[in-house]
Amino acid sequence: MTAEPTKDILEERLGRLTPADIRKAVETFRAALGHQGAADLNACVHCGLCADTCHYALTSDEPENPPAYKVNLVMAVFKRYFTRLGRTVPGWVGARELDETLTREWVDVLFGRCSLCGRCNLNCSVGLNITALITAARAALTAIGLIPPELQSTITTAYTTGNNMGIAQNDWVETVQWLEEELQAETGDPTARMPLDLHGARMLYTVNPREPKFFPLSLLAAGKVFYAAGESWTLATDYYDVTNYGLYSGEAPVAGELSDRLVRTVERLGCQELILGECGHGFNANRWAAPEWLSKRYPFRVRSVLELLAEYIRDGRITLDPSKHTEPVTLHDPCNLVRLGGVVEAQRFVLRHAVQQFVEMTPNREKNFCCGGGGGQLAMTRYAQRRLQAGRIKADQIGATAAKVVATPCHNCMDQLSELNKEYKLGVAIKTVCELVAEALVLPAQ
Amino acid sequence: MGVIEVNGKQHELNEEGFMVNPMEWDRDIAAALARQEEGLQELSPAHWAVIEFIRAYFLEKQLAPMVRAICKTTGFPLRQIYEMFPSGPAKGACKLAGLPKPDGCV
Amino acid sequence: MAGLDPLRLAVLAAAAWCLAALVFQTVRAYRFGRHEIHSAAAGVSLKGIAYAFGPGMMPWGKESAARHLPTYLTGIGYHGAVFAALGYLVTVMSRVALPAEWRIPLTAVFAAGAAGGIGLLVKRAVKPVLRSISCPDDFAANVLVDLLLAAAIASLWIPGADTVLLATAALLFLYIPLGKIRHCFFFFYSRILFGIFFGRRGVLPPRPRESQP
Repeated sequence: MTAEPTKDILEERLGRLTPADIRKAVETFRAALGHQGAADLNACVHCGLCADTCHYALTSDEPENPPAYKVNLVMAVFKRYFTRLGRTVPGWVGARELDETLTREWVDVLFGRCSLCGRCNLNCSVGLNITALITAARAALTAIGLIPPELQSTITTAYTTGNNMGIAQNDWVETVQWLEEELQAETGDPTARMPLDLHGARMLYTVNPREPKFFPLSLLAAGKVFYAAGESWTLATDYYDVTNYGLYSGEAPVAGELSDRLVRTVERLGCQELILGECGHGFNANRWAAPEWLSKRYPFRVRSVLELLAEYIRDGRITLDPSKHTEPVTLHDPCNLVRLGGVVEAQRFVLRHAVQQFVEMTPNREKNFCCGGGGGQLAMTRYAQRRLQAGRIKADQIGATAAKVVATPCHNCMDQLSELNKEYKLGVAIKTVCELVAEALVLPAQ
Repeated sequence: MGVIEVNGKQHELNEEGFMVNPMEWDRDIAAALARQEEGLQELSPAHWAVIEFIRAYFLEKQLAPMVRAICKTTGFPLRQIYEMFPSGPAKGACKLAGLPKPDGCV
Repeated sequence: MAGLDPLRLAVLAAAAWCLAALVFQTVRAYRFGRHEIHSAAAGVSLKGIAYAFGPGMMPWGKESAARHLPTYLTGIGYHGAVFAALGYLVTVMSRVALPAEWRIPLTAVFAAGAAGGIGLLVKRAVKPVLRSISCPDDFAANVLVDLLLAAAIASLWIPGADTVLLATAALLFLYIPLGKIRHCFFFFYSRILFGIFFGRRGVLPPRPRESQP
C-alpha cells in the first residue's frame, strides 16, 4: 500500500491566485523596495560575477543558484511594473509579468535557494543590497500567503504565544528555576540567582527559545558568567525570545511587533541595556532592523552578549583559564552578526582568552561563508536537501582547520552545523561562546 | 519527500525525516525510524521511557515537552538524554516519537 | 552660438535629454520611499563610503574582482576607454584640434576598450550563467558603446568621420536612460548606500585584526 501524498498548502495557494492578489503583491513589493531597492535595480549590470560568491552556486550547477539569477527574477518584475520600457517592450529589457509561473519561481528561488547571508552584497561589482531585494520580494509573497507554511508557522507561533516554540510561561519559569538550582550546585553558592523579572536590573538578557526547550546548558552557561562578573541582570517572564523570523518573511509590521515586545520589556523592567543572546539573525533584527521597522530611537543600548563578555575580560571582571580547552577551537561567523551585524572582533578576543588553540577558518570575519541554515532555511523543511548540499562549503572550511571544537555564537547556525557534522562526518563538537567561556571560568574562592 | 515502510505499510516522511502524519505512529515505526534516522539498531528501555513520555505529552498537548519535563519524568540527567539520542531531543527523541518538526531554530 | 551645426545641436539635445531623464529617474527612485535612520551607529558612514570607492573596488576588496581578474581588468579598461572617448567627444564638439601625436595612444585606448567590450559581449553570449540573465538590452548597450569607440577611432583618422562619431554619440545619449547604461549614474547611488550600510554597522572598513573590541 502506498501512502496518499499529503496536500501542500503552498501549492494549493499558488493555483488559486487572483488579479487582486497580484496587485497586492506588486504594491507590497514597491513599498518594501524603498529608494535603495529602486536604485539598486537601476544599477545592476547583469555582470554575473556574484555567482561564485554564493554557497548555493558553488555547490550546485543548477542555473537558479547564482545571486545574479535571483536578482534578475526580482528585477524582471520591477521593470515590468515600474519602468517605461519594461511596460512597453518587456522582451527588450527582460521584464516579466508576475503571473503564476513567475510567482512559483519566486517562491522556489527566493525562499528556497537563499539564506540571506549577504555574501553577494559584499562582493557585488556594484554593491547592491541583494538581501534587501530578495527580502522585498519575499515580503510581496508573504503578503499574499505564498510563504512556505513551515516558516510562517514559526512566525505565527512567536506572534501568538510570545516565543517561537510556543513555550508556556510556567514551563519557562520552571526551567529557569531548575537552572538556578543547577547554578547554585555548580557554584556552591546558595545565593546564586537566575533572576526573573528583577526590576531595576542593569540589563535584560534574551535567549533563543530552543535553549529552555531543548538545550538549556547554554542559558546556564550565560547565567554562570553573569554570576562570576557580578552582573546585575534579569530574564523576563513574558518576552525573552531574541529571535525574529519576521526578518525573513519581510513582513515589517509583524517583525516590528516581535521586536517591540523586547523594547517594552526593557522599559517595563527599567533596564539600561538589552543584551541579545547568541543569535545571529536576532542580533540583526533587534540591533539594526527593528529601530527602522518601528521608526524609533531606542533610549537604551542594544548589544550582543559577545560584546559584554569581551568587556568582562578586558575589565578583569571574569578570569578564564584557557587550559580548560586544549583542543583546537575554530569559530564560525554567523552572517547576521558579523557581515551584516558588525560584531567582528569581540568573539575572537573572547576565544583567545578562553581556549589555548584558536584557529581561524578561511575565509573568515565579514568574508565568511554562511553555514547554510540562515534566511529561514532551517525552518523550511521542503528545502532541507538543498540546505545540506549548500552547507558543504562550510563543512569543507571546518574540515580544513582540523579543529575539534567549532564555536558559534548563534543557535540557528549551531543546529545547521550539527546536521553538517552528521552529514559530512566532521567529528567536531559544536558549542556556543558562552559555553566555552563558562567552562574556562575561574570562580573566585568563596 | 521520503517514506518509511513498516510491516508492509508506507508512511510519509518530510524532507528531514519527521512523520508527515503523526497519528500513524506506532512502536514499530519508532524502531524503524531509530535505525533509519538515528542509526540506533536497538532501542533500550531507557529510550522507550523517553519516547513514550514524549508521545503521551504530545497526544495530550499537541506539543513537544520541555527537556526539563523529560528529565524530571524519566529521572535521566540531561547529559544522558543527549547521549541516548545523538541528534538531540528535537531531531532525535521527538522524531522517533512521531512528532512533527517543532517550530523555531531546530 | 558660432559653430553649432545641426548634428552638434542634436548631440547637445540628446545629452540634455539624458541628464534630465536620469534626474527624473532619481526622483522616481527616491519616491519609492526613504526613511531617516533610527538605529544607533556602530561605525562611520563616511568611512564606509570612502572604503566603498577606494579599497572596496580593488580585487582584494571584492571576490567578484579577485576571482575574475581578466574580466575585472577588461571592465576597467572598457570603462576607462568609454570615459576617454567621451572626453574626446568634447574636443570634437568644440572643434578643438588635438595634437597629432595623441592619435596613436588614443587609438590604442579606444581599440583596447572596444576589444574588451566585444570580449564581454562574446562572454555574455556564450557563458550559461550570463545567458540566463541577459536580455536584448544587455547586448544593445554593449554594442552601442563599442560603436562609439569605433567611431572615435574613425574620427581620429578619417577626415569627415566626425559626423559618424557625433551621430553615434547622439544615439547613445538618447538610449542611456532607457536601458541598462543608466547604471553610469545609479552605480554611484548604490555604491554610496553600500558604503553607508556597511560603514555605520561597523563592518567596513575592516577593523584592525586582533584589535581589542
